Amino acid sequence: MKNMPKLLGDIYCRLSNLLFIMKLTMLAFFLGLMSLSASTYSQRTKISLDLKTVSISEVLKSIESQSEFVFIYENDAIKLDKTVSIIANESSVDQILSKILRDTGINYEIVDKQIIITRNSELKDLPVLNSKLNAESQQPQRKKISGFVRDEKGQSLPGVTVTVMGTSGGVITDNNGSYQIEVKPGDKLIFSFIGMTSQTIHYTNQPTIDVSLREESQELNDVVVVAYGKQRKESVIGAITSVSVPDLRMPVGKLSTSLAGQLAGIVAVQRSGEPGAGADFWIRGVSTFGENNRPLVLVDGIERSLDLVDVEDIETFSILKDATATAVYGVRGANGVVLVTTRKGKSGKVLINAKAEMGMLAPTRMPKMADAKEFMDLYNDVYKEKNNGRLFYTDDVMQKYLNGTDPDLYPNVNWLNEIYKKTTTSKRLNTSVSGGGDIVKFYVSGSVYRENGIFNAIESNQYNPSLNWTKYNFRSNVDINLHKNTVVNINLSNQYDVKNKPDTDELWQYSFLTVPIAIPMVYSDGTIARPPIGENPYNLLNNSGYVQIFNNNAQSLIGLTQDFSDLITPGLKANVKFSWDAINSATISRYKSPSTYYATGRDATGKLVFKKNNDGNDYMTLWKGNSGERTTYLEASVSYDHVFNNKHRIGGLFLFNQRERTNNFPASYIYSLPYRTMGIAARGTYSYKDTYFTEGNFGYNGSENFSPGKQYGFFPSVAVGYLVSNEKFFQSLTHVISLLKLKGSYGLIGNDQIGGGRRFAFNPEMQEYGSYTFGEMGQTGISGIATGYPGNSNVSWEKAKKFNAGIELGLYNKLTIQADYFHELRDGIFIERLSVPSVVGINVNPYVNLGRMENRGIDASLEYTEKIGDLNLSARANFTYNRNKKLYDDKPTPIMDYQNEIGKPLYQQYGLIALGYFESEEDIANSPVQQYGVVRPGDRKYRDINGDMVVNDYDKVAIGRTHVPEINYGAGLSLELHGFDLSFFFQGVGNVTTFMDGSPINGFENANLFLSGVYEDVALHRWTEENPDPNAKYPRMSIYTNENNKQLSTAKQINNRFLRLKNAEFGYTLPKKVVSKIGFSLVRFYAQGVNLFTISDFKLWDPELNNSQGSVYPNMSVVNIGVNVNL
Amino acid sequence: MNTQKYIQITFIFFLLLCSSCSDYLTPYLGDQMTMEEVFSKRISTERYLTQVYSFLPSDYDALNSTTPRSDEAYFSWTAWVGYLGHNNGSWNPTTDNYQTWTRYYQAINQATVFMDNVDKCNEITLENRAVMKAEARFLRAYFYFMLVEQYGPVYIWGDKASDMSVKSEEIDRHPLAKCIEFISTQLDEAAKVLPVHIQDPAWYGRATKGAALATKARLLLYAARPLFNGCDLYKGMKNHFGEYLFPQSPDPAKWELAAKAARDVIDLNAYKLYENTTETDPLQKGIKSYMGVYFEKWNDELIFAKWEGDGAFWNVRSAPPMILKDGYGGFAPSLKLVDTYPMAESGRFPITSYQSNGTPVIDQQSGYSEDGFVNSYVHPVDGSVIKAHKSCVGRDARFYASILFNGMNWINTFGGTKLVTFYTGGTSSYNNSTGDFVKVGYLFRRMSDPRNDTENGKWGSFSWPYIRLAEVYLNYAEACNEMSTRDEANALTYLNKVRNRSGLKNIEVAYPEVKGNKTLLRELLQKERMVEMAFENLRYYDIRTWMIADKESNGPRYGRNLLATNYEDSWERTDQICLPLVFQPKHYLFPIHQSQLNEMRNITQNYGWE
Repeated sequence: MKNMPKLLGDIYCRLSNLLFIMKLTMLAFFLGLMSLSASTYSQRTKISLDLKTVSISEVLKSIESQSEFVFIYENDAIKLDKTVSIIANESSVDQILSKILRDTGINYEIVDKQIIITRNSELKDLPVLNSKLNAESQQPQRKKISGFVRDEKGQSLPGVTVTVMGTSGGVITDNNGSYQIEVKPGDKLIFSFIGMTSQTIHYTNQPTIDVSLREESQELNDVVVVAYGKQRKESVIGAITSVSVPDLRMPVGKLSTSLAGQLAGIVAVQRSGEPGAGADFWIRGVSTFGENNRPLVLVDGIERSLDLVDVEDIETFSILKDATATAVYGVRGANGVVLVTTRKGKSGKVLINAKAEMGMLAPTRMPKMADAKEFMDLYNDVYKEKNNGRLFYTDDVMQKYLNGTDPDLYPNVNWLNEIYKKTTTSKRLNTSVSGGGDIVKFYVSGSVYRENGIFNAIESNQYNPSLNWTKYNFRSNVDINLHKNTVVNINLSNQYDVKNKPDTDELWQYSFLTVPIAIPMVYSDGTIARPPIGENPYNLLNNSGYVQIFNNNAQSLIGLTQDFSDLITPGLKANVKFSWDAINSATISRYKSPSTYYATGRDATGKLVFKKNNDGNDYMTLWKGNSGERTTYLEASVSYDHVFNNKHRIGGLFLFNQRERTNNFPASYIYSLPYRTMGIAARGTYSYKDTYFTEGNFGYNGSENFSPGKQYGFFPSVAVGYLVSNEKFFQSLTHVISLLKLKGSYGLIGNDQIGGGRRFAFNPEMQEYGSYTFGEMGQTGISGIATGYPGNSNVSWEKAKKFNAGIELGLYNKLTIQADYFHELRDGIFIERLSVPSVVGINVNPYVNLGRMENRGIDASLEYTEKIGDLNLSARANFTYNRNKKLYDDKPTPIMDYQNEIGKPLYQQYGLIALGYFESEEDIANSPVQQYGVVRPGDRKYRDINGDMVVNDYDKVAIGRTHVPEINYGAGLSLELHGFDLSFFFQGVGNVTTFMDGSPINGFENANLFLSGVYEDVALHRWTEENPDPNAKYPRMSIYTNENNKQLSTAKQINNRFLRLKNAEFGYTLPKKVVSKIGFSLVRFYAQGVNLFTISDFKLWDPELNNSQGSVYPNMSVVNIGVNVNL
Repeated sequence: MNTQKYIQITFIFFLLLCSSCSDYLTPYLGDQMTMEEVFSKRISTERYLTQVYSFLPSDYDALNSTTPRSDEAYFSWTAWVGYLGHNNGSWNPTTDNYQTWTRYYQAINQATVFMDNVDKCNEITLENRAVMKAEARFLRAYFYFMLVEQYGPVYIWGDKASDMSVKSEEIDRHPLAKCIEFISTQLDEAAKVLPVHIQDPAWYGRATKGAALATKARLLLYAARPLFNGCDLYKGMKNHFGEYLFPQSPDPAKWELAAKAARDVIDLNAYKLYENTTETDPLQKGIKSYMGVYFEKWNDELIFAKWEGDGAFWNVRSAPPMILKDGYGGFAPSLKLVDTYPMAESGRFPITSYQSNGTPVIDQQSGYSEDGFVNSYVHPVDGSVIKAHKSCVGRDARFYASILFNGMNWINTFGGTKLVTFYTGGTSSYNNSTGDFVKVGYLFRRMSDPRNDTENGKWGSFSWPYIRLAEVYLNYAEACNEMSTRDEANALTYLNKVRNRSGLKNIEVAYPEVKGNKTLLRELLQKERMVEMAFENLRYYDIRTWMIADKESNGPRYGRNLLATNYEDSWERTDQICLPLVFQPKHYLFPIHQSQLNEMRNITQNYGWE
């Protein structure tokens, strides 16, 4: 630990910075745990060699290729061409080197992963070594250059190996990330560092070469996080997709809302932009119509909510899609798995990272309702035809509403403008401290995020009904090396969030429905206004009380990893982990409902005459709700990974786990019983020459849901892969096709979250049912008992048979394409048996594992990186398409075959096919009879599907798609030049439809003039007698509900496809020289935007919402500025 | 670290592996209610039986009964009510209203489950268990009976428990003969065990021997009537096993069975018609006797009845709107029912038929008149003096006990004397609206006890009869008249018992020509039954099983002209207010609901509904 004094010096000189005092206190604690123990990599790493009559340098190359060791030496100075032979089986590098370098006069020193080769008596400090090497260099054209190496955050990177291509010479960057090396023009400098992508820079006489190395998306180079472990990237033959974590960093409150379009295979939709709202997501779409179609989310291997993870804390994020990737999860893995690992400390300098952001949010689209004039014109129009041309709002009345002279009796309120603000704000502060030595590595972080809502509420300290959400995250991940082969890791995390909002769920509904001229927000004398029917949105917002919802999550994990390489056999490891999580939620509602009034006129003195709507009260009443649960999880595993004879790579895993979740506030006895799962999982992998791969996985696990003796299931999977580009015959092509891999997998996975609204579906239940009164005076009133749910002793999990075939293709080492085809058959979906004939007379239908569904599709991704001069460019794109199909649901077959849901996608929409509008009475007479009330010209005309000359419910057919998009895609581009960086990310969906419906669309459904708000678009673009436009957007309006026009049809279906700029970011990193003067290692300013614009066919509201009237909290655009500093 | 420590770690590791116990996933469900537990205790066994009782229909809930769908009533509401579609003929197999199939098969299943398990309960004596089992058997038969009267032949499980694994495509209805045979045998079996009287007043309302026998009497009467006894309409219907579902020809012997079944109830000697003993005036006595059937709880006439603790549901709806604090004015008789009440003096039915324009053909011997008013008529129930239309004068006791007519005072005076007039602008004015406005000119006040202080929210309670003796008498009289060995004497005797209770003279005195005239007696019996059993949910099935519904329940319906803005003119007959009735032959029986057709693909639909 030679760096220690310097490091402490760094710390002390910054102590004055008060901002970080607290962090440093923690740091001091961890520093106390650090030790100066020697590096362990060389002892842990075992190397096998079988080389005959080769040069020493070839041996060294061979060692380099098998391990992470890097040899540093000067070619000219050291003769490494001596011929040696060596056979080593699982030997340490020390043993090998001492053997081959014996009697050569060459010394070596192992410094962690670097091995410095020197001639005898030349061992010295590294910078000195360099200068000596340089001094000995006799080539005149050589020039000494220098530069900085830093990571993508701008933090300086010590220990980076800088070598000149084609030579074995090299230097290592110092503590400040700076280096000096001698080069000649035309040389290529290679910068490499563990965990970073190596970079090659062409030297063309530039005086300095500053390099920023990109972190590999995985913790280690070419390693992919898989179920219960990691695999080398080239060995992976399951369908696994990872996303680069920086791509997920968006200025939003919850991680799930930034997933859409990011990974091939993810289907994500955001249905509300309310602060604290997450998004719904699926892996490869919806594969079951059973209870649970959501993926299993594992954070550090523990089933936890994705949205509780702070994106800044994430190290890796990947999704497991096919059978081979998920089989080990058995009954939990059928819907795919999301694996998130959180960051760990790395050996080296303590890094303090701080980020501060401020954002401005605005609805992507705010609906526009008809204003007072448009509303009155519309109503007059529909009124006059029923009333012999008489107008409801005569000109003078209309003027009174419009000129605002008597806003009490003739109000004119634009509710959406009054109730909602145009913009709101958010802010975020995030800090983390990480670092460590050989004994302790730590990562500690804390963050605060606050997002305000768009409710335009009147706030005071005593009473605040405004909408806002504040979230605090804390995390501490510590790894302790108890011994060179024993590591303990402790991950603690706490999330704490509070939401404040008015005590109403009806604000959106009534702010859309209430017409502009119904009532004033408040009467001029302060009297609380409310229409006789409906609500006053202003009142709902400001006078109904407020709610605070508090959530607290504590997540704890302790793990112990033991390496048995020394003791038993190389490559054998064991791990035990235990986690205990608790969630607590409390809702405190302080509500009131004051008396409200409606002004009916004025008395003789001009005073308003009020009618009281209700006897209310002005005091607050308390309502509270609590929920919570606790979960413990225990996992123990042994794993094995070893290469024999450089050809046979064998891996294995055997694992046991059990989980128990207990509801802290169960609704009944049955729900108080803990929810348990238990099982074992195993994996075996074998590859030959890293070219042919096979893998077998299985999970054997069960859940307490199923009847005793039938709780466990066996879920096997197999996969094969062929890395064609590793074949000898392919080598001539690798300069073009740098990677070609074919892979396929097949397996069985389960889903034990079968639903059906009951805990133990195997268990027959009795129920309270019916009552009857006996007795001469009815004194014997008795409540009845009946048989209840009949119980199904065969109840079992859903089974998913998954097939996956994929290809990975790399071109010119720049472009990588991955594509997978998948097919899944879901069997045994737990459904209510609707086909039990009614004569059986059961009063609660049994549930059976009878449902079947199919899902198939493709997902593909593309990555491209290029460097043009100093410009770093990277592009990525992904595409997911899936279509599911219900195969069996036990529902009776409908009369009309085309109404059968079988063979159609889940959530398929049905409706009439609209054929425009009736043009005339004659047109009506000549058309099939529409059985939804009497029709008139201007009403919608529908197709008679079954040809019976009648249009009714039997003519409703599958139209459009489903509300879950079948096509999901995303594409992004990043550019980086001289400290500036710029990135765009577009996201889009296709094959998705919803319906618009309800009074604001259909008009006047509520049969009163208070709740008849309509969209401006509807008021202005409808069919009228004056303008009988056959292409009008909306049909004739009626004074009451028009059942005919109200029917769901193609004309009311929305195509919700869209393409949006999901994320755009522009940043500038201050030059290192500037920031180092003020004591920082990185300062970056950036501006970031989310949902900056959206292109869609549908314009009335945000197309991602799933609401027939758009009357929900809109999705938000965010514009954010931030600064990121590293110390 | 030495080897010892490795071994320790390894040891801990495997200890953890093995620590899981094998029944980790087996939940302890011990404290939940199970079938065994329910049938091990008296209380819960009784609760189970109670649950079977709970499937009995609530006839008291007239909106969901047959009454608004029959020709005896004209309920006021014209929106949000299920009877509209049934009355205008627009209903079809997908119409959910009044479908009882699923509910009664559930009830049947529950009764069977009870019967199969009750013997497990040792806390109940053997005898009591036998009685409870017989109650369940009776109830199960009663549920089947209600299915049969609505749908005709149905699927019969017999005595075995229903089987969830039954193949739905194999299910079809059993022939009617088998249904009737099964139900009647079951009722016999139950009657053998059930007590004649419920001894403990706390358990009044439980089934008795009489209930079983009287149900059987009604069943066998229906079985003998034309609809179920070889009518042409349903003759050819076969189930998919090739069996005829209905009798292929009339069998007059069924009337003998019906007569015997009714006679068995009478011979129990356990019941007698309720009669008032304090009044001496025949009309007053008749009124109070007839009213007492509903107002005197658990009187001796009731054979099977249900306690209804809160009378508000019924009484609010039969009270006139506007003049009372709560009055929904919906439960109204049809003008036809009002017309049918006999004349007190002559004992004859006033109207023999109607012309096509609705004008009544009046039996001149009856003493009935529609012309003009009696200016100071003393209403026999409350003694108040009113201006009465002639049609309301001189009618029989049941008329005054039952009909609230335009121009009389509200039946109780807790809120003072309140004149009820239904014409437009009257105290309880007509209004052409879907809501609470009387449309026909009358309300049905028979179930509303004038002693209830409705002004102050006292709505009374009911021991609402399912079956009472008067019906059994009329069943018996009808069967005696129809038997091939016609027993006219008994037919007249038992018809007269019913008439006499209401103060009417014997039928053969009022109609001397009835002697030896089977057809006339049939017609008079039908009218008597319509009046006596009005609003007791029999008329709907009577006109169907008699197969006269196509005449009686078809075409325009007349009421009084409430469009008139004065009292006098509001007595005209008009079809301008009331909606017509539509009856097609298929309406004799209910359709099997579409959802049943969906689940049991081969079940045979009723005639006309395919």
